[in-house]
Amino acid sequence: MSWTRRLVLALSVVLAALAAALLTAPGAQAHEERPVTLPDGSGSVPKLRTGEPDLLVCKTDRADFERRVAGFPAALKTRNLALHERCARGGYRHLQQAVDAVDRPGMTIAILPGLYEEEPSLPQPTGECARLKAPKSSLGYQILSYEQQLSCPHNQNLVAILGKKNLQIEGTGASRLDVVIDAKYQKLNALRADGSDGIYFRNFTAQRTTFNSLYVLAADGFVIDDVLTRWNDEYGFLTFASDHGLYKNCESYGNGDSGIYPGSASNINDGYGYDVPRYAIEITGCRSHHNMVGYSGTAGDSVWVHDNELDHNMGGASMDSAFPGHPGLPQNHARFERNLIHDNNQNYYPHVADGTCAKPPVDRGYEQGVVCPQISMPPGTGIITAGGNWNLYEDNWIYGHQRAAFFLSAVPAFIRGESAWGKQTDTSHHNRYAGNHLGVDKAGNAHPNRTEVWWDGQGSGNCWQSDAGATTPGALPGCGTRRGDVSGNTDRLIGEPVKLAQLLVCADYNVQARRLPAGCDWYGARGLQRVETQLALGGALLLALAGCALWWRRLRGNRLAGVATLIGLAGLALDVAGSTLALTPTALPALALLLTGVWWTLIGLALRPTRPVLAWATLTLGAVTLLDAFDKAVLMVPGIPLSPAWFRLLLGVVWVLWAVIASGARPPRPSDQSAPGHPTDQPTVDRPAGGTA
Amino acid sequence: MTAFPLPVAAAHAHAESLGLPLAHGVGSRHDLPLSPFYAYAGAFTALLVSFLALGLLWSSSRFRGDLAGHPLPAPLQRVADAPATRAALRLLGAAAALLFVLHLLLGPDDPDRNPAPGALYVLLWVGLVPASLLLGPVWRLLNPLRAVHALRPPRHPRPLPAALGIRPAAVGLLLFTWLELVAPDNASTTTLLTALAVHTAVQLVGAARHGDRWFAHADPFEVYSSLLARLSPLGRRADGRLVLRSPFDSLDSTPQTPGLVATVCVLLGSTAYDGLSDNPRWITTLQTSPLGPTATATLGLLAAVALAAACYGLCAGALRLTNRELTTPLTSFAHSLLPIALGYLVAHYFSLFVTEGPRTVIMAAGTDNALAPAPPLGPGGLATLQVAAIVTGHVLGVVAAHDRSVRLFPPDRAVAGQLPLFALMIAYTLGGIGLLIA
Amino acid sequence: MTRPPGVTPLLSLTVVLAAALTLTGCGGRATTHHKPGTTHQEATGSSGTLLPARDETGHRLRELPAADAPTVRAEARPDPEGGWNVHLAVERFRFTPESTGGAALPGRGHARLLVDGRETARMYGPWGYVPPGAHTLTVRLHADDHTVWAVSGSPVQTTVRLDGTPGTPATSPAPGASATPGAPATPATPGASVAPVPTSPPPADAGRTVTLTITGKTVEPPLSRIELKKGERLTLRVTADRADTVHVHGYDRELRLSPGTPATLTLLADRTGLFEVETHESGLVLTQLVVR
Repeated sequence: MSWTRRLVLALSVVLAALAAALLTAPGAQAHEERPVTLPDGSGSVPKLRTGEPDLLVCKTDRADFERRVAGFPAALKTRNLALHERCARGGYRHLQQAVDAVDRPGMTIAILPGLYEEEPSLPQPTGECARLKAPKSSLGYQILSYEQQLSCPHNQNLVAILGKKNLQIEGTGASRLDVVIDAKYQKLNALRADGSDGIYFRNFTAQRTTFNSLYVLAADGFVIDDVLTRWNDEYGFLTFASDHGLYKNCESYGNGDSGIYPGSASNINDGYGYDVPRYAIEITGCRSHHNMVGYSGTAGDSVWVHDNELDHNMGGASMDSAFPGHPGLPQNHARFERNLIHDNNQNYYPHVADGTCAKPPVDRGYEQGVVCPQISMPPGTGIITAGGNWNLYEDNWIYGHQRAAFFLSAVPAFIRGESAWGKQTDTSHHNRYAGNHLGVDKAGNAHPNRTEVWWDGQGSGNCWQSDAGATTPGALPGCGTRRGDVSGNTDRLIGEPVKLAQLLVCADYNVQARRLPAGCDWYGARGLQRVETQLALGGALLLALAGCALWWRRLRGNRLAGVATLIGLAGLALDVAGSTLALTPTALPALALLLTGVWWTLIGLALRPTRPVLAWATLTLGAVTLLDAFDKAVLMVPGIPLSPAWFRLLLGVVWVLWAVIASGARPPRPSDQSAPGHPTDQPTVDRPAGGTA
Repeated sequence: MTAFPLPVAAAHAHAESLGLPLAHGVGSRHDLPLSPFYAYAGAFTALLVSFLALGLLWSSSRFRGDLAGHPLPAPLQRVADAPATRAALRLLGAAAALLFVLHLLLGPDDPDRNPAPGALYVLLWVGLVPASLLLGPVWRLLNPLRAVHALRPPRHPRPLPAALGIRPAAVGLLLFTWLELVAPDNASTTTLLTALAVHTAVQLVGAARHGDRWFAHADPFEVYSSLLARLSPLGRRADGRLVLRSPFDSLDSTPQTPGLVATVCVLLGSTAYDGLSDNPRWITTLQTSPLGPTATATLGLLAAVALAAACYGLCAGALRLTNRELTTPLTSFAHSLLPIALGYLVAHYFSLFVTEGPRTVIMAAGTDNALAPAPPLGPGGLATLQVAAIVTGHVLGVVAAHDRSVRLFPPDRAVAGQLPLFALMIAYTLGGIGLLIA
Repeated sequence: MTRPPGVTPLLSLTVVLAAALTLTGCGGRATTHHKPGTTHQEATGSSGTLLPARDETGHRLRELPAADAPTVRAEARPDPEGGWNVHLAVERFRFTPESTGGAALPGRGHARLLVDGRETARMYGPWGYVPPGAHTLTVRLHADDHTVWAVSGSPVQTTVRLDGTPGTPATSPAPGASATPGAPATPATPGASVAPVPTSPPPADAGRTVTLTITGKTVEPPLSRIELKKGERLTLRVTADRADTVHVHGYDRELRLSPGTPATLTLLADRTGLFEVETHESGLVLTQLVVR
């Protein structure tokens, strides 16, 4: 066989092996919910009905009830006592029974103060319901179709509200804590409203599930008014694939993912700019605290979030396009106004590390403040946007964060499972951060954020207010007074390489395997443990060795080159220092790049007489580095599709190889080749491997 | 630790009748997976060194192979070459073999009470590594089969075809590693006796046809020991004197027999498969495969060897493309893979040797269910040792390859010609480190 | 063969590459989760049996078996300003002030103080204060829904005499609550409650429990590694559908299995390394222990 053919054969074997490894990797995650489509938008936000309730739910212990209403204001107390008498005669003892009795649209169910454990819903499924044929999600429970939920409503739900139109469920207590629906960690959902357009929830508490308390799926028109949800594995409020929704005056805490999650809200504004006819979901007056994130909006499209408080979570609010399977991706058109987002510095990752989150949900201690973070995210951040477009963040108070007020990164589409080439860079664009009050609370007291902005550099049309303090990158496009005005706009396809490396490392989190990636400062790595510092150190060592070798072998006599090398070493040292967490948002990285650029420029000039091609390469590298310094410190360079750091990286790799070869090459001395006693080149074939015995 | 009650021991003796072999035949403990920090540090060091070597090392060949070395004092040489010494070593080997066979025939079928499996898999297979590194190709001197053959040497031994080289030994090594890593129930006396019988038969029949040079071509342990001895400081110069020399020189003088590449690829591939066999995903594949665990594991072992060979083949092809005059790219550089194979061996087998080796000896002395000593280094120390072994192997390989390439390539292409080799070695090293993480 | 040599391997190569690329580009169907997170294992235990009996304050009793029921011990030390500082040592119990008013879950709730038989205060933590003028203090454990934890029909409680003479523990299964031999006239400190009082969380070395089920040739959960720190305790609970023996390599521990019956094995991970846990008859590797 000729050598070419042998080469191709070997190549195909190796590549086939690689392909086999790829193909045997676990496939895309199974879908966790039945396929849903977004509503057509023909509904409307339901209005509160104040008449007499049609159905009543209460417990029969009169003495206990009187104790519960004893402290109520007089009118409310009288009403409740009257309702209780009516309920004792002809009402229901469990909410599910009342829901089952709803036979026409527009009914109202009143729940009287008490504790509702919904005992008839609790027993394990039996008979047909124990043998449902349905695919299993990767989380261990089955994915049931709507018909299966109808026939077996309590496989996964404490209270199932299926196909009831315009239903209103309200508690009649003085505060939302008077009516408590407690799943005791025995069901995935406390209340599930599926196919129930126009549902109105008011004035109660739902708590302690292994997934979420209040689940509204595919509803066109819903209101959540004065409801508390707490202590769930994932979400407090989950309103998925819904439109015409309103959350007001709600509270949620103790959840392992987010308190409020309008995931896959109806994507009605796709194609609009900043001005939109309406929003799909409005969230106002809510407080979400002590969760992993207060608000999460994966594909949270067209959501208007205003006048809420998101505090004491790991992250205040997060919206992203990073997870496959959410209709409506990429995320777009969220509007955050006048929210108080502050002090989101909790760190719940130690609960994962010490095994608390490996226990069953009932034993984790959610009531004592344990939260088990389900995904990877940077603690100490105000608003995280990981892949989103056309979002408006205006006039919020964001203060007291130990990492950053704003976090913006892009997510290539293949992460969410879309492989079309044109879509890969469809985030993050046109996000506007203007007019926010950073580092001060409403009273004007100073609570600074450690940095204001962390941006990976990708996207076009993003802009920030000009009074942002410490930011990384140091120079940002600025917002004009009108929406859509951006000064210094850039349009880069990929973010900075070091930031991308960090995001990649940090994303390798897995709560089930208790895997907290060691190189990521989100999980506590500091100093040399962080991947950015390791990369900077490695790169600096390589460059220093190559530069010193070049100087020693080729430029030793040249004083300019000597000075330049010293400057270069200083620049590399500062680069390593500037990669640490404390010094990244300062001017130090830019200074380091400046010194390194000067080094290369001078070395290039020094090499011009002896090695012109290498000299030009070095000069180019120096120019690119100086440009990168300018880009980081003064003004982001518009018009280039990639950050100068990429050019610097690629050119740097080439330069290092070239410099080492240039310093190593020596003309062979003719005497060496024919030295006496030098072994010949002929291979010997007749001596066995052992040599002479 | 309490000794096993007898019925439990009996159950253990029938262990793995349907399932997967224990680690390396014997041994109850695997090494911890490496933390990525050590791995990245090791990989980075390897890359850095290769890269620097490319430019900064010598530009004309320095190693003198067979001609180098400080001769040992003459009395030592006389003792080493004396027929009495040789006979004594031969007797020692034969006695050890006899003991081994007796333990197999008469001893209990329980690896916890019979030192024979440990003697084979640990004392012989792993023990040959330090022995050969220190003392040269020792198995040639100890091989009991040579002693048996010498009882009745053939009168007209047939010559071996030149192109055969050490390929039979490569096949033998593959079969042995199959026995060690894949064969079900490989610590039972029946299996070991069968293997021993097959090995003895092949060697003795071949030696009866071709004379005692058959052993040097076809006995896997002799070839293994001889290849490892290329890195020993103790060697024999071209004129027959025993010398102390730099391992680079002895490595440089590795004769380029056909089959050298195959043997090295078998060593690399089988050690790589050993690293893979701990991986939970692989074990699940084995247990759920429709072909059965043994067949799947065999396929895995063959695939690992084939992958190592294919990578090397690619590299050799690329070398030839850059330099048309290079007629034997495969064998010219095969010697530079030996240090990498040695690094792999040390990384995977060190802790087995220091825990199971003493245990086997204690069992041979008569204690049943002997306690294996804890490894002398803590997890961090072991991890450092493993990475250091692989990286050192890589460094030695790089230096050896560099020297050979500046000898073979014209000066203006010396650097460019090394790039495919360096890529190959980096692939092997990163692969080796990656297997340690898994 | 009319195709030039070398094309066939190239063709197969491109086919393989194309297949690999298309397969990695599949998206997922609808999901409301971000990623497979923690287990969402639903609780199946019961919260005790609600008895019709009530205590003197009108709360119903919630009965638990003695092995699962919480216990309480109290220690009262006089405060220099008058009154007593009360410290509670509880076992199998956690104070959960935030969920008061919710449903009862075993091992949770709060404590109520009855001074001279009348309920005066609640304690949501281990420390509390009783104003002067009290003679006896009874501490009783309640669940979140205000029912009283009970064993064998009587409430879980302890009584302390605050005027110096040690009192009798009232029906509490807790050993040696407040009876002190000696120490007569000195007020309080029935210091029989041992000086370093263990607080409510379970003992530190309860360690990890891993449950494995073997059905035929499959192991549930699928083969993975259990990461342990040296010195940690591990409990393996294995259920198989046939008779077999589980062997933990390295620690040389064996566990006999009968079909359908869960068997438990506890070991202390005092050797570092990677050890396999497998069955003898079926030769399955159940899991790997990684001890660092």
